Amino acid sequence: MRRIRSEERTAYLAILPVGLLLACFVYYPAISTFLMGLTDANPRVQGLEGSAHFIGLRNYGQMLGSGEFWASVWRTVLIVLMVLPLELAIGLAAAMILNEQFRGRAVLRTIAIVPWMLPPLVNGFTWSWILNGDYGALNGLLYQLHLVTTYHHWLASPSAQLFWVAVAQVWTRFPFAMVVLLAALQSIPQDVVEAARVDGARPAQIFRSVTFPMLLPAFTVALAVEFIVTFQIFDVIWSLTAGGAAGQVINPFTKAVMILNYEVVFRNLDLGLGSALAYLILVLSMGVGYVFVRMLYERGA
Amino acid sequence: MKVKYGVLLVTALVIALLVPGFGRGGASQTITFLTAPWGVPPDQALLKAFTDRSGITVQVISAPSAEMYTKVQVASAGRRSPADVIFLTEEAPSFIVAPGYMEPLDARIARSADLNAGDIERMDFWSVGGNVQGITTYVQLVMMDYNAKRLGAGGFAKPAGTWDELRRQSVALKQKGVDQYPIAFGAIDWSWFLMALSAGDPMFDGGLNPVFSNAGSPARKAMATLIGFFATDKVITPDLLTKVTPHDVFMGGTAVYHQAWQGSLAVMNNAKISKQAPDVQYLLMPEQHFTWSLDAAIGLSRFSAKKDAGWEFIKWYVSPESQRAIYKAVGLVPSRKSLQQALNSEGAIQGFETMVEQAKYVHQLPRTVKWWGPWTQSVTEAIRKAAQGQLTPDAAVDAVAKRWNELKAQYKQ
Repeated sequence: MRRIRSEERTAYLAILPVGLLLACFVYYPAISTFLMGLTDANPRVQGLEGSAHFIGLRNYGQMLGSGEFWASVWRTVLIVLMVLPLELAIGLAAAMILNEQFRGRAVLRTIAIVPWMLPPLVNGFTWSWILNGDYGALNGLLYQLHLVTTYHHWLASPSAQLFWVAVAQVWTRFPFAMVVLLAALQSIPQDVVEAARVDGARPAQIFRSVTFPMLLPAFTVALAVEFIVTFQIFDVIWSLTAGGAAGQVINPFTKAVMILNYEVVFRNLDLGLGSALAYLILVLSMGVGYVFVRMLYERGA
Repeated sequence: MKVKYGVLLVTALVIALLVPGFGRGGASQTITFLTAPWGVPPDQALLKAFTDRSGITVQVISAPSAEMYTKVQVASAGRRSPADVIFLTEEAPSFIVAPGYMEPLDARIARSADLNAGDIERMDFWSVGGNVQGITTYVQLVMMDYNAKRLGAGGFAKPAGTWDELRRQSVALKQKGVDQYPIAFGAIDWSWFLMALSAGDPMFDGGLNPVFSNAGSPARKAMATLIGFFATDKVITPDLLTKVTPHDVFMGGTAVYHQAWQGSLAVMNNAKISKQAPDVQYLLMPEQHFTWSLDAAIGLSRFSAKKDAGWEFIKWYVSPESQRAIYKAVGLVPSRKSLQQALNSEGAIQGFETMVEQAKYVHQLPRTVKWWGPWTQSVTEAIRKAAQGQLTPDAAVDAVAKRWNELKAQYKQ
């Protein structure tokens, strides 16, 4: 039997605390949640004295056969499809502007990341104030510019609610894409860009043939991270359209998967079903995220 | 040197362990009170006097009612106390009381002559599972009020006696330019319950079967009328498609008719906060006049470690002085009959006669069954989908009836 060398022992000891923390706070809850998903645990149904029963994969079957689940997945996908292109385009544009040399660039860079620094809940409430149909800032601005004659209820229709959720999410998250892409832009060797310029390439050609391909790895990172963040969107919806400040009724038109999960677990106390739903969200999120990353890496290569 | 530090350490530990023990033996205690915003004691001087007298400091935790249910459910499922004293409002009978998260109060009531429990109305509603789970703090029929002056400006001398008449009046008020949105009703479960009950639909039979979905039921017609207010007549502002309550819309000056509550005139006719003041009056509910009541109560968490102190606070909270302060601040009609009579004789309760008349037509909904809370969420969802054209009114009624039966089977009650 091979003896453990002292360096290896040191390495194991070094990672032991992290391993223990991960085991306690990630793997144990994850395993516990998975096991809970195989039961009918619901303290409201069973009462304080009752106990849950093992029901196998019935919760997964119930959720996959539920129209509400697929409707929430579809809403989430719609939000993702609106958010990701817009967020990356704005992030890239902002990164390219802030990569140029001009006075006040440092101040502007700081200002640009403010929405990201603010808690998403604050951004959601800010947008709900901006979009309010009675006293909202957007109506006030458009009215003063004589672009509207009466106040508009921006969040009245279901499609408008989804659209404005996407806008608020883009506002909240575009600085992340901007920072990642700005770092990538600054790492592009200037001699390559200069060589293209000497060869007579126009700025658009330089961007298409030199800059953009070199940004693809950074795009991959930004896209993968933002896909996961947007697929699991919660705070912005909660504060903007979930049901008003009283939070009494969850708005069905912006019920994304995480909002549905909250409702099942914390409103209905259906812990078994909610645990199964959490795993379905994990699988969907990982699956689609994996496809995204593969596609981009292959294209980048 | 080491011995010296050791002695110091042991002394410090002994003091740290003993001091809280001394504290427990003393009179001063701190309890927590979890409440909806309108349950916060409004008169701080009165609360301070209670603290000075009893030695009990009350930490008030105010949360929206749905967040309150979540907090209580999650903590209680883990057998921990979410707070020592809990305010029971709206869907609390289903979310908090029915699952057994509250401490039965019968023995404490029997021992507390100073509570004068016989003076408090509707205690029977809070008797669940054979035990009293809360002390009624205010009584609240769900009612309607209207702005008499603006209704008159539309050429109508008296409020509508039927829902059809109310619809016709509202459309006329809109056409005459009196108000673009003459009705302030939310796209929520309460609006439908109110319209269905007042039209004479009992909604459930004795076996808790949903008779509201019977063919040609008044509840089906009520759903169609409510959806029509939003979708075709457009007599309700689109803001109320997403807002939870219509009250701030009405107080802001929009609408002639308003889904209100017993005591709402004290708020709606207060010119400091309401643009409708001073012309708001109650109307007896249209058609068969029925409504239901949404009284509130206060009780002890089953898992509280400070039940005695909590009970002292409860007795103070439902005392005549405290209830008078609450009525003065937010217009919630006190549960004490003696105080109601006193306030009425002082002329402090507006519209008392209509309240008394409306009280003859109360049909309680089964709000203490465990699935009532989750079900009401599905009702609001169905109403919102129907108001947006995603469901027909009949399909909305069928969907909520189906959901009721599913939940009833799940909860095996």
